[in-house]
Amino acid sequence: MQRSILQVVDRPSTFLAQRVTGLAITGLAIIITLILVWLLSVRFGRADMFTGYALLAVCLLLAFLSIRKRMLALPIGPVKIWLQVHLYAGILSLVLFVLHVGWFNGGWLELMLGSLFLWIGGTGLYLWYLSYRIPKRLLAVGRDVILEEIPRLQQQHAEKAYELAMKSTQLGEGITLADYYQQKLVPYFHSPRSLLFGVIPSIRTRRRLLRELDTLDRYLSVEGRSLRNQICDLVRKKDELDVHWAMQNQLRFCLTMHIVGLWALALLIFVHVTTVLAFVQRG
Amino acid sequence: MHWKQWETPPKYFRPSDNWECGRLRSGTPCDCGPDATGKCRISGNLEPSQAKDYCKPRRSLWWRRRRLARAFGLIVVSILAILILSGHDKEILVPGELSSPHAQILSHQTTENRCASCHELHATESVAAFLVQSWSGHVTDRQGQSIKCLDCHGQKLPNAKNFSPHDLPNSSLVAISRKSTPATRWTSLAASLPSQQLISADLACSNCHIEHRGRLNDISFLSNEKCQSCHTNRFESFTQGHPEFTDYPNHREGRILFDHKSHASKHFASKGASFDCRSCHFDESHPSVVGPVGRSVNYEKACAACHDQPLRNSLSDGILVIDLPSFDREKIAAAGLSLGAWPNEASLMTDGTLSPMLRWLLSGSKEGRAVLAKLPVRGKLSELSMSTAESLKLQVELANEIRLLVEELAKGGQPALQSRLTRAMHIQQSNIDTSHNATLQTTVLSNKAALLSSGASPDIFRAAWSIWFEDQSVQMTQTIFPKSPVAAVSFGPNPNAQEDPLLEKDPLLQDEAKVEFEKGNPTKNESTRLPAMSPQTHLPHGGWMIDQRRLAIIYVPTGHSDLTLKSWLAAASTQAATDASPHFSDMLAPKGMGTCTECHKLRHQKNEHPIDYNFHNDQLWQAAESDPKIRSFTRFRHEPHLTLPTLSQCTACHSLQDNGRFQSITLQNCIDCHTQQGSGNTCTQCHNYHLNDYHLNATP
Repeated sequence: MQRSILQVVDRPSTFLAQRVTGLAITGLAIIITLILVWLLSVRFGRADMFTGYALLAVCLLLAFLSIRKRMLALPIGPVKIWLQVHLYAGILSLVLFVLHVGWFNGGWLELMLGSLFLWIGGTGLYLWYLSYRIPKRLLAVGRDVILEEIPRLQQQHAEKAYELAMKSTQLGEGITLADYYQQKLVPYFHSPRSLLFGVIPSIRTRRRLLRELDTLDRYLSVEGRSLRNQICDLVRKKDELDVHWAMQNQLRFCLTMHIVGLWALALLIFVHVTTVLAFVQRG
Repeated sequence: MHWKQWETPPKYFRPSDNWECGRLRSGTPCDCGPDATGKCRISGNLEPSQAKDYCKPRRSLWWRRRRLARAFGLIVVSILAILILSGHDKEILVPGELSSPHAQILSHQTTENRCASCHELHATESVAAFLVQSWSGHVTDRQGQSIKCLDCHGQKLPNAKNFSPHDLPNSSLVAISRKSTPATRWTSLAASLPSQQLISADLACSNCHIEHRGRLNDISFLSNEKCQSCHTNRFESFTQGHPEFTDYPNHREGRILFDHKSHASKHFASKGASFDCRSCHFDESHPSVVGPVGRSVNYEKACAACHDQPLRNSLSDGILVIDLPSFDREKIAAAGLSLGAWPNEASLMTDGTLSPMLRWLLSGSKEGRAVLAKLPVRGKLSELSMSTAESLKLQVELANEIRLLVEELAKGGQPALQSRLTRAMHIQQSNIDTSHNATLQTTVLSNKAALLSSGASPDIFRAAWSIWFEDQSVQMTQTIFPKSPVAAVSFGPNPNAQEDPLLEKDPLLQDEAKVEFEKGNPTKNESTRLPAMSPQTHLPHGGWMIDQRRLAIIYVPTGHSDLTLKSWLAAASTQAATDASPHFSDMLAPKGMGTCTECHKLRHQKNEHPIDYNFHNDQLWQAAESDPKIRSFTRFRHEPHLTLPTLSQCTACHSLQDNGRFQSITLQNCIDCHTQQGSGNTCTQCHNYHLNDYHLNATP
């Protein structure tokens, strides 16, 4: 689910075409499904059986993304294509689900199955939303970094800030910068951000720190101000990395929530289909 | 810009691996990472003391995510397994709440019994066993669940077991389809689809009635589109395109012949009475806002005030059961033939017409049928030639058959009478191999057939035999029968009367009385002479008697709804539908047997399927075929309509025309209110899907 900012910024010229094609195919599939359901409902057909089989088929198609990811050698197209298929098939599956279930009216197995399906579908939709919202926000931040790189970069920034703070003590200006570093910047560079920041990243802390660093100017010489500016730059970079961390962790968390119910869903679908077909066999 | 052009190119990460470098979180991961088994590739080459603190690979997020998903799946399966093993399998597998009617019925059942009520699942059988049985191919009946439905609904829907459209057999469906004219009055998308062929009987109840959709789900709902998916004559809706009613509801007039016009303008008017529809068509005994509207209240309420006495008068002469015709004994004797024992009053000339009942009885024997076949139509003996030996011989044979009949009845009593009547029906039907015949025979053999002969005293037949044929030396009179003095009364003769010591001194039994009377000197025996008997004066309340004036055994009905007369007429009605013998239709003719047929329509219309009247089935006699078992294609309830102010008067829809018929209801009468936004216009508002009346008038 990780998407390069540049991939978003420098969208290929076919992006719109891909989106239009995907939506058109999905819309067409939905229209065909609705027509078939209507046809079966106005005849003596079993629309619920049709939507059930269709939903099962679409679920298998959705599961193929995971299979594709594991079997990289399969010559069946790149993962990004299957991801697009997964997205649009997910929309179709939700439509089929509504047509199949209608409205919950009890039944523990059905309730568990339906709730799980809606949970996975809902997290999927939210993931889709995040995958388009987060790159734009990260683009506004101005840097592009993958999640696994962030600890290393944070470490680098923290070490650099430490070096700058130590260097300021050698300028004969006292320990203004070093003291401030010791009191305010050490927790900032070396501690993880709050849980609230993980959910709703904010630049409030960065602004506060930068404002406070600005107030140190009257105690600093020209060289000291230069060091202060470098430290301010590190504060900004650290904050940008934190925003990256928060945003990408949101994606990871949602993906985990999306995936966590898959096995349970597959098992419940198996029980449901087996039971339904057994009862159907008896007329 | 590619990521490789970045200021700090990222290291190569393998997020899909199960392990990640233990130094990743600290920001100093190695370039190679751990191997597939989770061992650090670098620390493996170091001294143990150095390797210990160098790196401890961690499980990757990918691995933990998968493990979490499996664990969650395992938890769900465990919960399911626990519930199933603890005996709650049926509770969790219930796909939803039952509809309100079924939920109410099954509310007192345990979950196991609730499932077994509708599914082929034994109360003690687990769902797992059921699934195994279903998937292993041991499915006994694919309509098993539908058969379960019919355990409760089969009584009301006896033909639903056909599992075919409208519960009709394929032959009926094919016939109806051929009769209909395919037409599409409006090209809706649904109507433009080809007609669905559901002739083959493989429709399960669940095709239309889908359960487990919640309490508020109407499982009996059937959409208009579904109706039109099979019907070839299609239209958009009731308001647009529905075929016009054909003489509705006049074509389904009941079995009471009632002239509203003459009653309104003549009979009621002459008495100054109000001709109010409600007096006959509202049954006020049932609590309702407007009262159940029916075809008519009963005879006692609606008709008896004016018609009871005329009816009794018309029946007072009685029904001729056995009437002796007259034969010319001399001409018969001149031809060298012998008439045999026959009353002298009926031996002067060949005349008379055999009553329908006598012909019915005679046709109960092979010889009788042979004689009837040679006689003129309706047994009119005056049309017989008296100059040919063959005709005279036929008269002798007829007299002989009548004698044998009376003798048989005298010997056998009621069973013989019943046997004669039912045998005649059997024989007439024997050449008709129809299912109706089988039904009829079953009916005839039922206990209800006893009504045909109920009330007939064997004494009557014995007395008749004795009077008419046993002793021709005695001159019969209308006033006294010395040998069997009580034979003239309805209780019949007592053959042992003279041997009874208690009656030895009875003046009625003294020979002197007869002798004096025959001598024309009745003065001495004036006190012993009995008055002449007539059914009007001696049998006013009904019963059997010998009418010596007409030389007949007659039956005087007890009045309206006489069971014996009803059974004869009902049997005749059923027989006349398939039997060309004139005596059955003669019984149904006006004044054929009283005046019943003046008001009761007992004749079947052409091509009308005879109903199993069961001899006294009320269907035949009531104004409407109100048998609740019959579900015809169309239904209508007056009550909801009469609550509307504009329709509260019957004449709002039923206006009487000059020809005595009611103005037919037209589609426009209904369309004004029955729109989709108004009172609704679904097919099932007026039509039944499940039918057990095969005589569909409507064209599908």
